[in-house]
Parts: sequence; C-alpha cells; structure tokens
Amino acid sequence: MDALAVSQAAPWILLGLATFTAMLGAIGGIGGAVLLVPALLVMGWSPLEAAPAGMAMVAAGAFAAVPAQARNRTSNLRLAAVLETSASIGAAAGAVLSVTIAPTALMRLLGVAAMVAALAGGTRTGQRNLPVEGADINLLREQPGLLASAYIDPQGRVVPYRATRVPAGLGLTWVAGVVAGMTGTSGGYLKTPIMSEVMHIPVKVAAATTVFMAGITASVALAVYAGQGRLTSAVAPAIIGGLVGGRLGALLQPRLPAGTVRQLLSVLLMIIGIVVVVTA
Amino acid sequence: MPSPPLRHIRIADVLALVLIVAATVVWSDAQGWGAATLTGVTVVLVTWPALFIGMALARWWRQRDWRYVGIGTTLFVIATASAAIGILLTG
Repeated sequence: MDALAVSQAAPWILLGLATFTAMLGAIGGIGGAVLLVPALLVMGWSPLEAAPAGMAMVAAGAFAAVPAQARNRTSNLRLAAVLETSASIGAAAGAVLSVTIAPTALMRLLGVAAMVAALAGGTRTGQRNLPVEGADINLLREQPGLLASAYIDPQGRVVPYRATRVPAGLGLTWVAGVVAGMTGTSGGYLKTPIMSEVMHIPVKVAAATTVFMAGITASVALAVYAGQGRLTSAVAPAIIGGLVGGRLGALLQPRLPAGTVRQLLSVLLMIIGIVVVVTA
Repeated sequence: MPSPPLRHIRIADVLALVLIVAATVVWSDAQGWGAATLTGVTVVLVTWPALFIGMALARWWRQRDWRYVGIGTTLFVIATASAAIGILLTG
C-alpha cells in the first residue's frame, strides 16, 4: 500500500478504532483515550494531534452513553459529583506538578497499579451487592444526603448498594486526578477500580459513573485544545466513532452479567497497564 | 408521556444523532461548512456536562439536599475555572 492510500485510509482506521475504544469505554468504565492515543501514535500521528483526537472521542462517547446510562440508572450523579470534585482538584495539582516532575516513574507505578487492579477484579468471585426480590427501585434510588442508590440487573431485579470507605475513595480519586493532570488522560482506568474494589460500588455503576466523570474531564480538556487551535477536522472520525461506540456500549452493558463486565474491565486494565508501562 | 428529566434525556438522544451528522459534515467539509460546523460540534461537546450537572443541581435543590447542591456547585466552578485557566495559560 503506498503512502497516499495509507493517508486516505487513516480517517477510516481512526473511525474504527474510536468506535471500538468508545464501546469498550462505555462498558468497562474507562475513558478510552489511554487505548486510542497510543494506537494513533503507532499509526504516525504526532502527540499534539493524537491527544485532542483522544479527548474528542472520550467527550463524544460520554455524550452518547450518559443519557442511556442515566435512563437505566446505572450512572450515579451524586457519586460522580463527589469524586470528580476531588479528582478535579487533583488534576489541577497534577497539571502544576507536570511542569516540574517527569511523569515516567509515576506512569510506570500506575501501570503496575492498573495491573494489580486487573488481578484483584479478575480473580474476585461472587457478588457483593445482591438483588432484592420484589423491591421498588423508586424507593431505593437517589436517596438525598447519601451515596446510596439501586440499579436493575439483566434479570430485572433491583440491586441496592451503598458506597463504603468514602474517605479512602476520595483520597485515591484525588491521586487519579493528579495522574490525569500529569498525563493528559481522563484517569478513568483508575477511577472505576477505585469505586468497584475500594468503595464496593457495583462494577456496572462504577463504570457508568466513570463515563460521566471522564466526560467532564474531556470537555474541560477540549475547551483548552479549542483555545489552542488544536481541534481540526481530523478529529471528526473520532467524534463519530465516539458517538456510535458510546451508544453501543451503553446499550450492551445492561444486558451483560456483572461478572462479565468485571472480567472485561480486568482484561482492559491489564492491557492498559502494559501499554502505560511500555510507553512510559 | 415522559417525565421532565426523561424528556431532557430524549433531547440528548436526538442531539447525539444531530452531532453525528454534523461531524460527518466536518469530515467531508461539505459545501465548505466544515470549519463552522466544527465550532458548533465543539461547543456541544464542551458544554453538555454542564447541562447534566445543572439538571442534577436543580433536582437536589428541589429535594433540599444542600450538601450535594454545594458539592455540585463546587464541581461546576472547578471545571469552569480549570478550562478558563487552561485557555488563558496555554491558548
């Protein structure tokens, strides 16, 4: 294939990659940029072009997924507001630190952390939050003042849950925010395991809530990229792929058993951990 | 008849379809509208979380859930300030 053919195929490859990563992101609760951006770098994109394309995909994927996830009540906006406030403060600190600290060692550490989270989630069996037969979701969801709610599992049963170890979750989400600020990612691949494995939020809720949080981070980053004039028509396939993939993921996730979502998240985290360690 | 919050979500669904069409226009630069359409698409992608946070804030206000009204407002201010500072420092 000659160079012209490669350059003509590039938008279609970006469209396919963005659709696939946005779908995985919506199911497993990772922003997806951490998978898409390295792939674009391998394809010959410069980091200055790849980062806006990654964030455009994340913002578009979240835009398409969040309404569906809010409708099926897997996205917990109270939890998102609490944790994203902590993560945003961490991201601001990380952006400042990124000027003075080389992120290589931190990236490697977090790559290992992602792999440990993959093993923790992947080897865990059973279900922490059990369905309650005959419960009314309208009485259990959105409880004022509490980080507690409920969602409906694939069998139509109501699964109530309540966040535990909130201070630890806040602290770790702050660290995830620092990483996001230092590396220019949404940090979603850390937020979902923090919610699931530390705060004992059901993995589907953790994933859907992270999608919304990643959308907030990506929209802030997009505003900055637009101000820098780095958003060009080259990101259009990433936006279309994000919208289609995000919606597909949001439609698929409720139909999958929680264990399957947890296993998929573990595989994704393992891949991300390896990618992060190698590219650091 | 959908409840008011669900109506807003249906609007978001329709907007997602409109955004796909708009991004296709950006991609093909149909009739030379690519640059202007990209600006519109960017505005939507940058501002939609504010719509969702605003809807949640309104609901928590009605529920008199003041703790989460405060948290949501803080998040809104931090996100807006982060974008503004980022543009001012690097734009």
